[in-house]
Amino acid sequence: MPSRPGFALGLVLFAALILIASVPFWARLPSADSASSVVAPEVRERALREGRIRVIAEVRLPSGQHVPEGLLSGAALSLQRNDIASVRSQILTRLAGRTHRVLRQYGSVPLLAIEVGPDALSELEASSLLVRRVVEDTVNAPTLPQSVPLIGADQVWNKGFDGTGVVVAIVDTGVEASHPFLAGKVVEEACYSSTATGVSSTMCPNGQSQQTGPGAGASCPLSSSCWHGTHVAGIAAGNGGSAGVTFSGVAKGAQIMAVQVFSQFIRASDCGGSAPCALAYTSDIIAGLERVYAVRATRNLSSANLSLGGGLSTSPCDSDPTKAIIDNLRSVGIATAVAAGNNGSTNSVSAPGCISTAVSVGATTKSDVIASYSNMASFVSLLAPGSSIYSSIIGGAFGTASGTSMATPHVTGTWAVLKQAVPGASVSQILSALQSTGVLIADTRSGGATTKPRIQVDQALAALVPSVDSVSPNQGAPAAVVPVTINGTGFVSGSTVSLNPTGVTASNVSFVSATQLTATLTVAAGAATGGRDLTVTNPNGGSGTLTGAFSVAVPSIAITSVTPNQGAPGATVPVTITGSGFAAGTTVALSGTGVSASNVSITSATQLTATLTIASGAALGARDITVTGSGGSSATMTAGFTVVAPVTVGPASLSLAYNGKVRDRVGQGESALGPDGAPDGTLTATLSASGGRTITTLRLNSDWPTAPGVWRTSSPGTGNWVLGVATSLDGALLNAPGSMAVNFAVADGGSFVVFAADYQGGEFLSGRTLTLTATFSDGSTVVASTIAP
Amino acid sequence: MSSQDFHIVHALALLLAQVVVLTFFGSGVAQAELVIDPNVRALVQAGRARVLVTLQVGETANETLREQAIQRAQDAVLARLPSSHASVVRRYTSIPMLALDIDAAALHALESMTDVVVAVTSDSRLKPQ
Repeated sequence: MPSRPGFALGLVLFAALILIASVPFWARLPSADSASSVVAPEVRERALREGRIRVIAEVRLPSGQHVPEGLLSGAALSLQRNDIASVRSQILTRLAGRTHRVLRQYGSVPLLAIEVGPDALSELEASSLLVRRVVEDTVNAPTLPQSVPLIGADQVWNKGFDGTGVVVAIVDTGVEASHPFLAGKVVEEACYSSTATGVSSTMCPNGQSQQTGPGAGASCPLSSSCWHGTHVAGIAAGNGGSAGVTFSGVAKGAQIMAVQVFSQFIRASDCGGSAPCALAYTSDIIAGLERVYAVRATRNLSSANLSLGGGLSTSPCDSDPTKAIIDNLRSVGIATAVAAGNNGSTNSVSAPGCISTAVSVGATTKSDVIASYSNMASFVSLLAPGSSIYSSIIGGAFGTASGTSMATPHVTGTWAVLKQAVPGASVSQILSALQSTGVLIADTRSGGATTKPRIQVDQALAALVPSVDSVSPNQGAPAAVVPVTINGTGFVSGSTVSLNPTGVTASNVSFVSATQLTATLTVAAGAATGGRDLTVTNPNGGSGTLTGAFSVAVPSIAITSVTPNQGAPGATVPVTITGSGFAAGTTVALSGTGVSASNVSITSATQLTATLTIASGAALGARDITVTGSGGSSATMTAGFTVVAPVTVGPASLSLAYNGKVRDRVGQGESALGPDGAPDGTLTATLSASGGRTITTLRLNSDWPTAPGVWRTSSPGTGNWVLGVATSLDGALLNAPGSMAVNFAVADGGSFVVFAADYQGGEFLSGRTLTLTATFSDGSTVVASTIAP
Repeated sequence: MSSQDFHIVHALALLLAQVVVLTFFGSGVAQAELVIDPNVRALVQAGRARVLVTLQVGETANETLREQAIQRAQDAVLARLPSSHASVVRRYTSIPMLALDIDAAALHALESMTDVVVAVTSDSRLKPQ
């Protein structure tokens, strides 16, 4: 990694210059208000444990607090520097003979970097009149590799979204397109920079006030500040892979539109100090943004980055002239991310960040607290890491800088990543997702009263893009129609479902909740077996896919029973076949000759019905039944059906005996139907028929003239007005639950009991003629009557 | 030309420009109160100032028609400005605005164009943050 020692500090000092509220670079040192806490306990413990430790000692100045040199006059500055040197010398004198090594001495800040052993550390602790505090000289890793994971961007990369195919516009001091971190990324360039006699001169490469095309957006030539745009671009879209470093910007796959809008100001009065300096006219910034707007048809732009600003506003500044072009961009789905400013304000924002339709960005530290320099206000949109960010700078190098300038491109890059995932999302939709999923951070600084979300890209993605977790059921046979439930996250009304590869189509998609959809999957009859990826797509274009979510499979077929399993020559026998794996297209065949199957109907995956036609000349004997699925799978039941000799069926008759009104309920036990307040009539019927019969319906009539009762098992009444059947007075009902239909066998000479609900009170009075009609499975009927005694 | 003649010619020119403005884009556009940035007044007292002039243009969903209306509004303003007192810094295509370098006389002229000029604000200078 290219290294430029001291440059990082230079950048920090530059940043400090442009801040109205400057921040001492050692501000991260914890406070120590009493001599007893001069040395932090963990420092003492580490020194004892390891023998030596690198520390930074803050010198206690006789004058009290250190004053930033920019605020001091020449004489006071010299006095402070002399104090620093004097106290430092006294400290080093006291350390003489102790284990220590001076690492760095500073002239302008009251610090001393030393490597010390426990004895020297004790001496420092005892020197509380000279030493304000001692803290560990921590190793600060480059923070772009920290800030990118902190906001969850690397997790989004793992889901395939790194900004590829999306362009971010960096409206700044220009971008060094040849920087390895940005190699091949700058695809669009422009420059808007003004010459005003005696005030400013253009920094466009062609010397004119505007330029477009290759080279136009090159980094401007002022060494003091033109690193800025390249640094910002690296945070938004730098790619470590091309630079040979282990970290990348937020949208490492995105491309860059470099727009240089700064002019070289030549008067010290304009620069607030030494001239020349780079400042940007609002008119040039607007021109730069209008160029972004103009190329939107040819570039897939997600966001424009404005890491610049000026002034302070305690309320939205919608009269700012930049609002019109920001609104234009927003209307076509391009966000303008703008730095909130570095004044350290807790209730105001710089312009143009204060525009209500801009996405204003405040800065946090890697510890997730509001950066001391960051402006904050109730109308700040988002927070992002902005402190000590290590990114690309001019000359092919890298450097560290802090500011809301550095926070803003974290948001700009985030926009690219999310737009790649959700191309149709509006600025408001993405902003809402970022605001609702961000990590809330309260401004705990003095006067701070605002809590705002620090962006969490992976969570925002989850809110914008549906994710499919499971599909149930997850398989179907060719020609099947399968109602399914789809579970996941991020579903919305209007979500659509598709499957790939072909062969399965989704219809009737219904939104149940953000975590559940229902749909009907239709498997084509000729669909190839195998897995299908199921994709849910939201109206905003965001989609989520579950690989192999649904499978087309030919079910394994089995046969467990055939009922009835025999028939005589010349008969037509409806049969029910039970088993598994039955689906549309399943066929039934019998071995040998003389028996054919037709009218195959799939009741369920475990039951089908068919009609077996037995030829009149069919040979007697067993036949194997084979059930074959549409996919070719089959099962055979050996001797599943037998052709038997016809049974000579003699005449059947039925005798009936009235048992009286013995109980107020139909039947007994678990299957009994409850009482209705009137005792029910019961009768015993006895069959006389050789070979017995299977009774399929029963009807009982009473001839009571007032309200003749009719009870049927084939069409039962409601409530308790039913005709029940049992093998004995206290036996369980033979009626089917629910339908009350019957289908029971009675042997020759066998009997059964019928129960009839007495619903008028007169049907079973003495003298009533009660007639029972039984229908057998062959369609014949017999009738028996009796008179109630 | 005497000073009086100049004022007469100037007044006629302004009147003609007013007619042009009303003919081409003024009808149906409500007039808003013209806002002058106090900083601009202070700056022009000391010489010239870069300003952003926001123009009033009727709304239309058609982008081409809107851009044509913006251009007409810009042309109308420029036609009514005393040429030696103002110069164009930037013209914009998609937003109804002009960036100008003006002096006090030009500001005075802009203030009279309440039919088309909505606001005159200072072209502020912004820093990297």
